[in-house]
Amino acid sequence: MDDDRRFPFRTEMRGDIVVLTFGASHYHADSHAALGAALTQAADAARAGRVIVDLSGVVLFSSTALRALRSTYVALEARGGRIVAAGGGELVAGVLKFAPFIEHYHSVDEAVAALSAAPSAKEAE
Amino acid sequence: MPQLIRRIGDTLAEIASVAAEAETFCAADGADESQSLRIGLAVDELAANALIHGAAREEAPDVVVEIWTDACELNLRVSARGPRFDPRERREKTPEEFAIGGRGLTLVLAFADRLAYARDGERNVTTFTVAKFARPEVD
Repeated sequence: MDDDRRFPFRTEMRGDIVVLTFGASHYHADSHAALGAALTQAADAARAGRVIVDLSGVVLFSSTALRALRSTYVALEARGGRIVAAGGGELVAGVLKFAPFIEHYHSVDEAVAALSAAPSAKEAE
Repeated sequence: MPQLIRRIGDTLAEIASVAAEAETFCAADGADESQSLRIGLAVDELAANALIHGAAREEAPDVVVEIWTDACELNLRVSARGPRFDPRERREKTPEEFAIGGRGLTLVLAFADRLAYARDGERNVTTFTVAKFARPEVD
């Protein structure tokens, strides 16, 4: 089965914020390429440099997924942007505690409110 | 005693498949979802680590995963050929190294109730154990 079917993603805009929804429940070691591609696409689409990853349907998130998130964090940070996470199961929350570079909110609405309260990379220029 | 034994080749897709099977096996034995997920995560991290560390050798790492359960615990044993590697040993890392790898074993240590290591001939044998039922959180 190809990566697009195993790891579907959906992107939507909330104002100038890109929300990337992870459509699979498990992100194991074999998800790195699919995650990398989806996150790069989301970062490229984020003109204001702000991305939320919606993990509300995710129950398992491995260190492979953390590495993909960190690469996007580094790329966005270089242009004054931010990436934050929202939702996810108990294990996901536990795993994200080991990723101090990424803030984790209970819901996308909460993450949107937090990002909207801070100036975007574009506004800060 | 319910038991599942699988041999993993050399692809990450095989690891993901065995991890999913391990999770289902534990859940079918009545374990809490949170605990079954911990077993799935540990299969992923320990088997991927065994493949990476064994890849430098001519001989394939021959990763064998065993899962067994009892009334109280879920147990996972990952055995693989490779240079001695004790996942419990603390390894200082630079931020760059930490960015590339190393978080997997940190997660394994964090989510284990017990983690044991043994050297068996040319093989590293790591045993990860968690309670079958999640403990209620205490404020």
